[in-house]
Amino acid sequence: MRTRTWLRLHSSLVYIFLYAPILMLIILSFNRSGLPTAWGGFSLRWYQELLQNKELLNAALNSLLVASGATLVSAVFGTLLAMGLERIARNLVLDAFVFLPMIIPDIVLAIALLSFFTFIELPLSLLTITISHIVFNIAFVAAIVRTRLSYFDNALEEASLDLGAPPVKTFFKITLPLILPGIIAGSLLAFTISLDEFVIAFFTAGPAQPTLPILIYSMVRFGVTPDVNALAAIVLSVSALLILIAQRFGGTEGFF
Amino acid sequence: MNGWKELIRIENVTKRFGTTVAADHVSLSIGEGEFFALLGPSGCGKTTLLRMLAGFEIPDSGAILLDGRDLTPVRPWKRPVNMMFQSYALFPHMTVYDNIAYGLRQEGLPAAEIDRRVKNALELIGLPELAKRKPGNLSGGQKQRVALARAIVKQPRVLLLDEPLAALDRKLRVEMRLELKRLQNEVGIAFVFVTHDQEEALTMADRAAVMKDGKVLQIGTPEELYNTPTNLYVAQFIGEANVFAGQLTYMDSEWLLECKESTFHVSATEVERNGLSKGAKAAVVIRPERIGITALSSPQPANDRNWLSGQILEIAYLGTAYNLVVQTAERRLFAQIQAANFSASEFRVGDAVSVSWKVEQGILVPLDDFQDIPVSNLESNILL
Repeated sequence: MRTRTWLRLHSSLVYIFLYAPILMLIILSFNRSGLPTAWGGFSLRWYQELLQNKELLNAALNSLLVASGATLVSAVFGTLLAMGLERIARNLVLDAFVFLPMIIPDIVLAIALLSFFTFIELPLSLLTITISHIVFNIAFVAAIVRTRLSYFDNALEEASLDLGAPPVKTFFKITLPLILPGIIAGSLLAFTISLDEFVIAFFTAGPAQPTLPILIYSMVRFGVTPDVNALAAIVLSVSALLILIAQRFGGTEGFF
Repeated sequence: MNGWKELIRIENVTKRFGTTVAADHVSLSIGEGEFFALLGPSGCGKTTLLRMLAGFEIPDSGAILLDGRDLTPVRPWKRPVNMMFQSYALFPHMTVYDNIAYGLRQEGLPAAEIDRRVKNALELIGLPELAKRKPGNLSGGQKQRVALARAIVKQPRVLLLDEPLAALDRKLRVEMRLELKRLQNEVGIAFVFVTHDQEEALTMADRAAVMKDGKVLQIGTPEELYNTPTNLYVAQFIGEANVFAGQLTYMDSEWLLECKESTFHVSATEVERNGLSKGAKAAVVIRPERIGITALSSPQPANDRNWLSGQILEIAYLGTAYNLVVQTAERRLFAQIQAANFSASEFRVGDAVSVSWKVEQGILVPLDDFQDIPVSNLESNILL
């Protein structure tokens, strides 16, 4: 009994440690006074200011473009990769190499990508950020789709072939609908990561088109302004929502 | 078999997976409308053979003919053959109705025709009210029927069934045997089913092929396999068997089998059936229900019977029959005696008895080697 009380206390402390700063940020984003030290009453003032900030909206659009493009490409190739690994390769070394981009420190990947783009003389732009994000997003999508595939009964495909549907039709009628929850979960995760990824984007971004995290970084260089709190709160909500949806799709029972 | 007409011919088919031979020069024919079983222990190659019929595996050599046409180059989705999978493989994201309609839609039939045939199929399996359910909300028995309907509705030339009853509990399994047999009669399609359960094969199949290590050991009707096995493996796999191994001799115009414990008379018909000659190694197999038991004190069994003396180890009452285990000098024998012919008050565990069987009821099978005789699986099954 005592152990349990201690455990409960301990886990509460961990949650407080994890989430207190974030909670603080959200509260401050509604603070009329704009000072981190004094509560001046509830206000949506900083959110309104955000919406009038052209530069910021532009950066948000850039982020959305990068995240959408990277997610779309990663969803397709990540799924194909997962199927290849599950069905054909079954090779530990190959497996390890696929999931490496998830583990490599961002800074290493960022430098590598930057050198690579310089080497092939591709000018830095939103395209280079997108390509860079695809590199690690494929790994995330592949990892999640693979989990889903490992529950997949291959007899289902054979049954479809047996009933007269050729392989391509079988893929679209049987395989795809059944692993779709995995693909959606993987894509949502990829989208979220891409949306607020900083280090790699910072290295591979062109001078004129910053993404949201890069812009925020430049805004806070001279201290945290209240509108950044509001912006961070929005990014946080979007990310949290996407992760919650992803988790729902990622469940093994799926949505049937 | 009246009016038997060949539908499938498997000619000298061999299939290897790495170093294991899943099918080793298999040849057999299956007739139109026949209920045919591929019977054997797991790993004997029966499923591989079934998958080659479906087109999921391609033979390394040999040919599979359907209606005289070589099926080898025909891909699975073009074969007039359908399969019921062991896991049923119902599409979880489709309703029962859509599962059954799936195959017909691939043929591009008109919607009205599809609807009519799906409804007929649901009627046939007795589950018309489940059309809108998803497979996740069906019981094991219902899934099995839907899987069957999905395959039958295509009206294939042959229906393949991979361990169709293995996933059901025992009571349902016994019911479904009759049900499958009824369905097969009704639709008139040839059924080829794979099973490791000899009882299942005997009760359902018109004919069965007993397989082991990729080879077909014997093909025959259940009666033929049970009463006239051509080798010891089949004799022991199909039904229970008491086995005595020995060497054949011919003396005073009678055939004898000299075994370790005694010399038994064997029937000349059996010697002839197996084409055996003097000096050959052979085994005599006695089915438990052919064994008679009498008290040692009573007159010796008649001259047309072989006999041994022993002691009763166990008596188990099964309702219609009694199972007895008798310990003789060298071994345990298993006997099954109809309850009507056995008075329980007459025999007790520990009684000395004589165990006997009619000479012509001893089944003779050739042996390559005495080492060949696996320990009978009797003891584990006796008192179930």
